Amino acid sequence: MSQQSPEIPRFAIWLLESVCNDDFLEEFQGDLEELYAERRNHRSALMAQVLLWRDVVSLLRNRFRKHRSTQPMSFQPVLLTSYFTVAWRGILRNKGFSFINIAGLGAGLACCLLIGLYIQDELSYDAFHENGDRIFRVTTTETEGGRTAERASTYFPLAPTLQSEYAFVDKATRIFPYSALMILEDQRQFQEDQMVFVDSSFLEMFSFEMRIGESDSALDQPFSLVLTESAANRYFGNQNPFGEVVSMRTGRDVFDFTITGVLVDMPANSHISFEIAASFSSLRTIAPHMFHWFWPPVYSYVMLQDVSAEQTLLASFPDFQSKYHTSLGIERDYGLQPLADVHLRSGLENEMGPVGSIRHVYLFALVAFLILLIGCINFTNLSTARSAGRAREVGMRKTLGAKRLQLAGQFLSESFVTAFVSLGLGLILTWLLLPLFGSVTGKSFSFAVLGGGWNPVILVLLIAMVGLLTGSYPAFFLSSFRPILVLKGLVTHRGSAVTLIRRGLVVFQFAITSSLIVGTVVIQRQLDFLQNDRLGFDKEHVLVVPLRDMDNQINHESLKEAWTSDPRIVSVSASSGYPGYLEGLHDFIVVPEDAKDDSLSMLILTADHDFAETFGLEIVAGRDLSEEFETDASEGFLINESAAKKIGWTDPVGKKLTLSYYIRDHELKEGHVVGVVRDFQYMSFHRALDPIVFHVQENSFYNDFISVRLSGTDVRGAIAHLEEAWASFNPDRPFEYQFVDEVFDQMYRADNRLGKILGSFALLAVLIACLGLFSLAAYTTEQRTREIGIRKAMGASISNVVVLLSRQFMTLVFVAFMLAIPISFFVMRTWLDGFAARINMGAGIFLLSGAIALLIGVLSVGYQSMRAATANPATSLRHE
Amino acid sequence: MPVPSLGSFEELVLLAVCVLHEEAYGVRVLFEIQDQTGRTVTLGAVHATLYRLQEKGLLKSEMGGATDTRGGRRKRMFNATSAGFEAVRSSRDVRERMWSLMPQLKTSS
Repeated sequence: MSQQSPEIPRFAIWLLESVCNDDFLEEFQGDLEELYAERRNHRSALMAQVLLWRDVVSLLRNRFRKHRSTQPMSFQPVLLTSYFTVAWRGILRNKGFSFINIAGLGAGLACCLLIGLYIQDELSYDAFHENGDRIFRVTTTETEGGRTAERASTYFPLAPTLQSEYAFVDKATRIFPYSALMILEDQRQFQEDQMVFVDSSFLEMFSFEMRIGESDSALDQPFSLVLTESAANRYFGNQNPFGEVVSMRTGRDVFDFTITGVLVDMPANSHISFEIAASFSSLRTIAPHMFHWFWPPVYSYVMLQDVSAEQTLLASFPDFQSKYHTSLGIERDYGLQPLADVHLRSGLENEMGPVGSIRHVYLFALVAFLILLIGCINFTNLSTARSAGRAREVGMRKTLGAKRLQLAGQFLSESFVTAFVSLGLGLILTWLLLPLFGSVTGKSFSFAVLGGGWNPVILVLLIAMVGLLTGSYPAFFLSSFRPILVLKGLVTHRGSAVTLIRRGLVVFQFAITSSLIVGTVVIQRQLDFLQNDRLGFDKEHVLVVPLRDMDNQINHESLKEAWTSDPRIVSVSASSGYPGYLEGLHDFIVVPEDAKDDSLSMLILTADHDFAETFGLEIVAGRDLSEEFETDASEGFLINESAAKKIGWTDPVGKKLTLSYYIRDHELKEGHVVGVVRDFQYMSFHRALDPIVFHVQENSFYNDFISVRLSGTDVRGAIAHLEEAWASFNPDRPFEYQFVDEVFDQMYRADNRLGKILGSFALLAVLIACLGLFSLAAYTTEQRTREIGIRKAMGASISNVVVLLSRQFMTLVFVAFMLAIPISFFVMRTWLDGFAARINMGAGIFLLSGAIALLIGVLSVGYQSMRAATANPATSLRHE
Repeated sequence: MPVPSLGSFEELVLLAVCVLHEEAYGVRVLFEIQDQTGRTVTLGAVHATLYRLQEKGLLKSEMGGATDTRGGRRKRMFNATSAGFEAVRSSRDVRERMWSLMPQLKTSS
């Protein structure tokens, strides 16, 4: 066999040698070589190689195998049913063992199902639009004065200009969110915040179903209005609203709209969501001053002729800009975002509503997988731990002629039966937990979804995977016993390899569990930190009232006076925004005195006197803007620390500042800084703190809100007083208000949810792992019953025995935790990187988590050890 | 002794061995079948059939001498036994008998 021609690959020779009986080798190798030489005469080397490999594979058949089985394997139906009968009996016989397996796997599966439903829902966003693959959202990137903003929203003229400019832009629409007071003929009033203006092509581009009206023409005319069913119901009950007229009040003006259609309510998995849509062309009359290239409040969508036009359009943007934007003097860039990416992969400012995050989806999927894995490890570990007890069974079966593969089949079928019973339990648990899970995630799930589409197939595959994963090692291990040895009882404490694998699995299991514990602790700490420590202002007892009319905004002083007269009200301040409100800050240019840059883009908050007092901002230097200083209104500025840092001032009080802003035209306001406030959280915690300049602007439409700080005593009475004064001041507007702390809670709902969900799943993982450790400890202590009896008889104390029994497991838990530290550190650091302000992951967090993990270990192992240690040695010695 | 039944591929292999007369071994049989039928055949199939026919007593074999073309390796030479000849002959007889009974009709497509 030493001779070998170079053409036949070594691997092929090795394969033949290891599989085929030696009797055939010489002949086969000779044949292969001759065949190859023959084929090389009229074929390429590659082809000859391919044919050679085909022949090699064809020779690897049972007939030529080394240890050829004389009988073919039989898998008759009778045998299969017997497998399952025996498996079922086994499950019933070992109730405790089966309970732990089934409970662990069932809980793990329930987690998987719940998380799977959640992920499916997240991924289903905006997937129902027929032409969805051709629809893109146009995004804007704008760099101004050193600040870059990537926005989901764009300018009024953009969409129609794109459509008229490029033939491959099939359709284009804008969505302009709006809020207005709607007045019906019978004088009923509704404040509508879920309202949009959309172009007439909107209903054709997107597949929102219409109940009444034509989607291609409903919004063609100015002053047409389309309602969703729930809005129609609210307005008109069961009456057909088609053709009815409703009035919209905005500012001083009232406009009449005709209802031209009714839409089916928006599905929950749509990022576009509204209750009322009005034709965009109406805005030409309502707000003609908005049609310019400076302010980006609308969302623009284009439908391209085909998907490939995306690149063409992207490539056309530079030309487009030089054609339309050169005179504007602003650096601006456009991008395209596929509709399918809007919900999970956006990461832009000015989103229309709350969006999800693909990172959370991955994180949840990982957690689900890990929990299932922990359940699977329980099964594997307990099965091998019980091997001593089953060794005799294996020996007997082998003696009676069972083949190894048949035995493996036997053990695999046990794990499959367990997996299927667990699926049943998992489905029941899912069904029970679904409403709770829905309320935690803020979604509504239907259990029936599990039976739809590919889901049953996926479920069966999942179970098959679980069965294989849990069963293959025990099957391989148990079926390898040698019958003579086991029947003589020689295999009870066999092989260190098995113990090693078992310990490895326990370590792995607890490493996962500990990582989840660390993750949960970090998330809770971070959320606490953000929502309490880091805020920089006092969010309690502050309420905000929107001033929706221009008249109110300009004449709010009298209202303010009426309100401040009450002792339950501490202070009142009008402003263009408030912390937690994502708009209300305006980008304007600031020219500071003797600074490194002579003009900077800053966020400007128009805020009345007493703003700092109302929100409990801390004044670091100087003073608040105050009515006591008459010049404050016309030339006073208050800035925050970030602004001072950005300008480069170390001692800002008294410095001169010129603000270039916009009312009806560009205006300049010269003044000086009167005070500096400590940085506070205005926007989302995911963003860095913005530099903000505050200034007073009396009688201006910028004052959209009035914020009120209550003393905190008799809140209800104070609100009643506010409402009373409001009604006399502004009789035809309902009094609306919101507490700032509630606004903040809403803003961080997604993060809080993440914390809650992860926390509960981590708890579950811990529980399942504990079950496993508990029963593993039970088995090993049981095996050592006699040893313990002897030790006690020889004078070992209870504590000696407990330490002896627990030491091994505690070491494993400790090692696992050591492994978990770096893993969880890196994972959680990436999560924390998503926040502008974050906690340090110090030793404290790890010490706390480690203590929790060890405590769990002690609890699950300690009980077993104590029981064994306190047992009477006389009974222990009679054991077995 | 009843004649063992022959599968169609078995019959081809057996015929090839008879045709090659004293020169039949794996690769030659394979080429013979490929040449005569135009079918692509794998070496494993040929060997498996050869050994199966041997088990049925239709072929016998012995190791031949070494040759240079095979890297000095010997080859196993197959020969039909009388039962083997009998088997192909009787299968041909059956076919001829049945052909002769076929009515003289034009085969319709």
